[in-house]
Amino acid sequence: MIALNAAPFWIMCLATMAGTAPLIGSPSQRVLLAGLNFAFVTYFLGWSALWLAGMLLGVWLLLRLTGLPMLGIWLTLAASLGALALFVIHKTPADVSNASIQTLKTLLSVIGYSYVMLRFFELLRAVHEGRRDPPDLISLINYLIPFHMLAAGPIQSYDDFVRHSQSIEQSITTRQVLTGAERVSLGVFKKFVLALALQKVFLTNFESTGLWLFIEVNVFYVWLYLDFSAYSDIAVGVGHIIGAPAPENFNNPLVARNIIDFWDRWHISLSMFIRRNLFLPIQLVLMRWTESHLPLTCASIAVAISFLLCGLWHGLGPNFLAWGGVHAAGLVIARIYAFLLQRHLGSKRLKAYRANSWVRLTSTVITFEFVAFSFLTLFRLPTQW
Amino acid sequence: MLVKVITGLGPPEDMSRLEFAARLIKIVVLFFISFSLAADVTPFFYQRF
Repeated sequence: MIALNAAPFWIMCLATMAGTAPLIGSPSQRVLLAGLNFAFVTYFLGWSALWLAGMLLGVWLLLRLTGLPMLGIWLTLAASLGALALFVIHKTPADVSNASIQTLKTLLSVIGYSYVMLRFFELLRAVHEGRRDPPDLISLINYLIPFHMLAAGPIQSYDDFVRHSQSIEQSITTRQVLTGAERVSLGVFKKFVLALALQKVFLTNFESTGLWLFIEVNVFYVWLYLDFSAYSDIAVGVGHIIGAPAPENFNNPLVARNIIDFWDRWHISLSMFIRRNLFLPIQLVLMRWTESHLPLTCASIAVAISFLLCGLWHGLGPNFLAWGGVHAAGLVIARIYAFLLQRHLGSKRLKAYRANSWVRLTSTVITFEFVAFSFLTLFRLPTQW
Repeated sequence: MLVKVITGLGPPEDMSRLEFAARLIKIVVLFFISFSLAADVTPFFYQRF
């Protein structure tokens, strides 16, 4: 994984800002950005970057063939299975006996493959469904391995990427640079001061017990938010300056009033990916099967499948599956509760109920504790099957 | 444009020089504190915690 407390990332930021800022608005900007993106991963990979170059060329060619009748479907399926196989290699413990697998694992780790895979699926789906033309090699590199989003996302949708590419600004303004730099400085402060302080003072990998465990569980959630959102702040800030915007990923999740609201505020780009590519297609299939007779059941099953897969995306162990299961259960219960409230109170009284500050406070505290304790599954349950 | 920003010569039209300077100073201070800690150069802050 790309370390943000080491020089290469920041040298890359400065080089990209200095190099691309004068070129914003010209076609050379995206060419230079692609070159810098590839050079960045080459710095970490050395000769193994040739593997990556081969993979990118393979994907570029594959996307051109997915439009072919019949063959396209099989190629899309094969590409999806191949991407999933790489994900399994990426997430399983290191096999040091096999040099090739070790090289591949290093490569996947450097490019943050978990995120690259989701971007690849977005791209594959957009091209296969005919919504977008296959990208040229330059766009492919800029979309799949943007240096500022390699460390921890966000997951930019391909539609979003194309929209931004088509509306390239003519020049960079002082305000843009200032806003971007402020966002980056906020990110590094959150990560290296606030999150680090909480980690050093409170966190013990959940070895604490009793009241200290309760405190640690709550602080861990705040720490994770600070640390993770810091990565997004840096990516958004850098993207702002270099003319390659990254989507927003957090919106005050600590004050979410229920688990549905939480997933609208936490890791938003992943949440949107799940909604677009898992929840909605699964729900649609189920609604067709049941001829729209059981909407709540269909939505609940779709949520359960989506979040179990979401858990496995974070890690292939039973602990991550359980974490996904806990969130799936929370989401299903929240949906059923909202449905019952609507039925019993009616729209007018429901509005008044939701506006009540005590209800809001109680639901926010319950949601906070639910999310905080859900992380215990990651540490207290087995990590291997 | 980047050079203009770095040298502090060009606040946006609708921003006063004072606000521009304050925001630049905030950025520099946040970066300085953060990287001091990240590089473990100033353990002073940890001792305070």
